[in-house]
Amino acid sequence: MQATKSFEQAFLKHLLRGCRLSAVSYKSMSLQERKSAIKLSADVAMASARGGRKWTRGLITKLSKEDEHRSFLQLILGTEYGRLTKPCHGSWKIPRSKKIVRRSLRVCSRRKNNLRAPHGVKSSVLARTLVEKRTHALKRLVPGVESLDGYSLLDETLDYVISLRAQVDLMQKLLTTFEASKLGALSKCTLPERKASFVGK
Amino acid sequence: MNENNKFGLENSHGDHLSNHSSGVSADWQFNTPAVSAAPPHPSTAASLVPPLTSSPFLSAPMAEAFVPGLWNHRTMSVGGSNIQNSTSAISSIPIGRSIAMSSEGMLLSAPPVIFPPSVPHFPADLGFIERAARFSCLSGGSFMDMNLLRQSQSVAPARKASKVVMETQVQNTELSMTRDKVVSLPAAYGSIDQSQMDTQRDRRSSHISNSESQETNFSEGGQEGNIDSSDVAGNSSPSDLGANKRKRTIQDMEKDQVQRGPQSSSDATKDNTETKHKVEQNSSKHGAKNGKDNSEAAKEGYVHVRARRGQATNSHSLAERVRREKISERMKYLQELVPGCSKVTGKAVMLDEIINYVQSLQRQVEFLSMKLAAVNPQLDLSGERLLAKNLRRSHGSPLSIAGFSQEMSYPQVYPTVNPSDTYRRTMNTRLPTMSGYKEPSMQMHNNPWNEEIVMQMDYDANHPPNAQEINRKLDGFAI
Repeated sequence: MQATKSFEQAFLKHLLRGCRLSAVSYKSMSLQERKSAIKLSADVAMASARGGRKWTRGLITKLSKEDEHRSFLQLILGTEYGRLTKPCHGSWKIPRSKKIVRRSLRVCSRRKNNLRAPHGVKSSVLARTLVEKRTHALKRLVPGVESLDGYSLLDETLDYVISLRAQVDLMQKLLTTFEASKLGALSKCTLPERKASFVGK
Repeated sequence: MNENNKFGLENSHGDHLSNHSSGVSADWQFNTPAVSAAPPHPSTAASLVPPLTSSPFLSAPMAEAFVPGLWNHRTMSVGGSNIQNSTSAISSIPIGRSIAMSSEGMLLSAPPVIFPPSVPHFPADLGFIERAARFSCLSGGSFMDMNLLRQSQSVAPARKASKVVMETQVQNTELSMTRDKVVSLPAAYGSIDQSQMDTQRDRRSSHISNSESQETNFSEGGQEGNIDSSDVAGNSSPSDLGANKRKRTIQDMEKDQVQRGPQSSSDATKDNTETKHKVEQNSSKHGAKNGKDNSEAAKEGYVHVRARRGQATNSHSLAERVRREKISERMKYLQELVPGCSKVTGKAVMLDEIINYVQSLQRQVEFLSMKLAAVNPQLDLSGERLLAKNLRRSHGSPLSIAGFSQEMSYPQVYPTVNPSDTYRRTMNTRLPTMSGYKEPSMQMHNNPWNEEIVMQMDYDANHPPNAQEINRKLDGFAI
């Protein structure tokens, strides 16, 4: 399973554009600032390259929670920003009642456990709680999937994993490109020296 | 096609009940002309014998367990004699096997027939079933004729005959069959009780007013079953056509029915388009073992399911089973995606692995962004170059870059990159140590180095995906 070529191109384009827009430079920013700027650009690039998915919307919403990022996002995404941050009606209602649902689930489970206590711990209950725990952990990891059920959650996770993998691959390649260009820029070195420095990396 | 199955089910059931002292010979006599009368579907005729069929995957192995050689034998040839040979074998099939997934039995050549448990009634049922299965091939008018013929031929009391007719008519009129209905039919088959049949009919009649969507679902399920079975049989296109024809004839028959509700006809027409659509869809998807496709379900909005053998036929459990199958399908994809998860079974462990993988990927992104920030001195300088490279990649033409000092070297580089995959791979894997490879051009051309790398990215992006069929399922990531 791979991301498409168009995804890769869009990602790289957005990433580089974002880096330049945020004026990442040695002079004005520290390492941490640059790193966060690059990371932000990378995430936005990934979300915009992917298009309209639940996790992309969630990611952009999460990123735009901070005001400083919002203008940046708007710059990069342009018209897409409004579209991507628009709340989708499917997931809009559910978070409101999540608290109530959780409370009721807690009560129900407590009641169930109390009823089942005399019979001992059933393996199915144990398995279900394990799965639930992991599902919650996954929901914390993947942005924007809070309100989804099992199947949609797995669907979004699948998509998210593919995008993440593509993001990592592209950033790695970009990194090697940069390093190579950096290496090449040291044109004053002789070839064996360059070789040695490169091997040593 | 499920409707067809139901006809078969109902007819066989009714016949089974009505022909206690049945005129088997009468049935067989009727059968053979019917067999000969159905030339356009020779393959289906063979499979018409067992109109009540479970899904090939489920029932075939089960059947083999019981009646090893006879299924193949029976399904090979079309004809009453063959049916006769197999009936004795069928009678030995254990009782209570519910009809499996919604595969259209007509198309199956291999799967066994699940018949009501009563042994002496099998031959009659078989013949009756085959006749009933023939109905679908013939026009609607002839169906009514068959009905009458059946009535006249059966030795059973008028009550039971009328019950059979009523059942079939109820079947016809009731275009929408809920999962319960479909499921309850095999359950009814499992038991010989008349009372059960009555309850079945009552439940069915209570659902007569169900929505059109169910009918489309029904046909879709049947269609799917057709495709599945056809995949199993290995003959997708002819059976698809056959399924199409049969479906349309069923719908024609339905239209002719007197007791049809007004919505039925509209359903039938919709059904036609739906089934055609579904056939195209289905034929493109192979190996839908469970008989249900996630995307199809998504398109229809819901799923038509038939209970598997030995499983609860409760609507809740069916829905749960569909849900579980969808989830397991997604888990399969994720298994392929997450490295080292092929052997892992179980949802919790799999989820654990997925969580770990997502966390590691996110950490990797952070780390890489840190590294990029460290490399950054070049970013200002080569940002535009890289952008140009990206644009160049998107355009696919290596010479479209302007303003490169080293651009002249590019044509030199390009031919060397083109020929070999291995070169590319070595470039990728041994990037830090490949200085030796680029020796001649290293000194003067730093950008070609980069361009080459970028071109590798390009080539890598062009590599065919590992699992194309999976890609098809992913909306955005189709390649």
